[in-house]
Amino acid sequence: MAKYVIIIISMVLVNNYPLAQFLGICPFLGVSKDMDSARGMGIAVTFVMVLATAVTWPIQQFLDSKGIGYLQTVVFILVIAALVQLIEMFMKKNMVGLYKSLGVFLPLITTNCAVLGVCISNIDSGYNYPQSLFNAFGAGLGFLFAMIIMAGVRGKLVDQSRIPKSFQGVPIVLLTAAIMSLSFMGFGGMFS
Amino acid sequence: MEKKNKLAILANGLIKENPVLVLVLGTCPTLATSTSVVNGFGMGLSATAVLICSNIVISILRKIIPDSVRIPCYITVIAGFVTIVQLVVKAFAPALDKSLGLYLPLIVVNCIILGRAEMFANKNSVIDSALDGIGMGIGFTFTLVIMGSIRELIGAGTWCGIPVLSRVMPGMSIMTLVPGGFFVYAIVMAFVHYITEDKSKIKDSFGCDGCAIADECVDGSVRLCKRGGGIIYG
Amino acid sequence: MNKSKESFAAPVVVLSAICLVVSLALALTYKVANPIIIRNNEAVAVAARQQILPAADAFTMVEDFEPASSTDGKAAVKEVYAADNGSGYVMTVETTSFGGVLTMMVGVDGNGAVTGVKVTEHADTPGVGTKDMDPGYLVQYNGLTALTSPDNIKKETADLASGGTFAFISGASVSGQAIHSGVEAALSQYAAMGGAQ
Repeated sequence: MAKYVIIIISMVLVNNYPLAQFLGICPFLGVSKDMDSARGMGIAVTFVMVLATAVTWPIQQFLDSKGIGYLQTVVFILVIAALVQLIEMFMKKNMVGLYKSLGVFLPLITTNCAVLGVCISNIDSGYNYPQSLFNAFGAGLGFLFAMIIMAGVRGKLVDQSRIPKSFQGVPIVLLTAAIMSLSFMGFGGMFS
Repeated sequence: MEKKNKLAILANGLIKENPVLVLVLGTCPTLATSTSVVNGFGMGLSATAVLICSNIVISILRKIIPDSVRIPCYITVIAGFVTIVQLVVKAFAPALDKSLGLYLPLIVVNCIILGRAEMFANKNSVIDSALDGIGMGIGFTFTLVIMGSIRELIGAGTWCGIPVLSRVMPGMSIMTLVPGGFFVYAIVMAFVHYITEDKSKIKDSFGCDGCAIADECVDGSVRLCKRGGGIIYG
Repeated sequence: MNKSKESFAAPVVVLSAICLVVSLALALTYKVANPIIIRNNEAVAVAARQQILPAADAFTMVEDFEPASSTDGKAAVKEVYAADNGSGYVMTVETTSFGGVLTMMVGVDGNGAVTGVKVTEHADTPGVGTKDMDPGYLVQYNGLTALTSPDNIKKETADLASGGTFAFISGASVSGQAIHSGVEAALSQYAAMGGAQ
């Protein structure tokens, strides 16, 4: 059990996807304008990450057994796209409340590199099935964590803080991310 | 007239619609692979190859692909080219494959490529699409090389592996690490804002042009992308 | 009716056709590229082993061996290659460092002395932990038959059994310790295997 806890903590703090690995940067910067969207996106990504890993890991075993592991990228991205579509359709029908809060984010997730990234990195690091699932869950949690911090900081950035004209918009958010990732570097080596 | 038009398409990606600095697309590979000039150039070249090929193929197939399955079709074509590039890089440039690692297969979800397929290639002729791919690819590569140069020069004191600043001072390796990536990206983008000074063109939102539903999206906030039909975001 | 059937069939047919063509193209590329990739990897590995144990002519992988670990349990031997002319072994060791797994190669000659240490893969901080992977630092291991202070490299120097001192790099002790444990594991592997054959 301790092994799984370590995987999750290391994915949230040490190997945080947006802040330490450059994965999922677009939604991290784009959807962190307000707290509600940030939380919704974070939860939706976590959900899809775990589900996508649950599906793609067995598929990779099958591909490898047939000696066609090179189809990995094609198959994974198609499976993720189909999966997201299915989740959306299912939610729309059966979970209207949840669909209203998370549904809008689902279509944006297909091309989120963090989802495909976690599926491929699970295979690359040779994790077994439960380890992969925990790894995906931890990665999602780390993403949610970073999103919420960023949304909190950006809430304070808006009007009164006199940002130089050239830095308004994207650059100041990137600078914020730089300082955040600098502080996350402090978690490095926690498990050495 | 005709010729100028073609030139305009090519130049479009370089400056006016620079995918990284103006459209704010493809941020993940930009940040992750601009640690050195060679890495940035390799990534830019790989993505450009995929971009040109997929633009051409999608433009050829634009009348055949039914609207309802266009995104899965584009993704399949792009993923195919990405895997081919990946195999080629693995075979002929193993060192580059090692340093790009995970980001090589992740070209699939680089929003520049899917964005150009959706925005340009499925509406324009094959030649125009190829030119657009070349222009966008050069814009992407150029930005990566600039950022790679800054980060390598300050971070390691070298340029393309040739010692430059390291003769006089040790490198500040923070620049080649994650925070340095964010920092250099911010500075370069702010500089572009400063010299263009045309605020109407500067986006305060992210990657909306690559979004399939950009027309319906009011101010770049995802909450307003109500139709939810757009998958392009990443 | 007819129309809805058509509008359902066309997307499926087109998508399947595209998938098929892409798979075929990939299979073709793979057929061409894969032998080159395998050959490249093999050549790189052979060159690295040769560099670490220059006296060897060719290498054979040792199939069954009892993997040795370092005293702190952080490092374990993963692969052992024996030189065909009996000049020694090259071992691949995995050890736990600052950023996670660190993979290194250690060469040991017929007298049980280290001939070379090389870090092949790591996830440590560039500019800090990587100081410990500098050939100029690692060359200090060459010629050692035993490590005198396996678990205390926080000091700046350590006296060597063979005389002289071993200079550690301050501020990068985790990577240095990890590499130290790796070399130690390789040396105990050598002892466990009963020297070179």
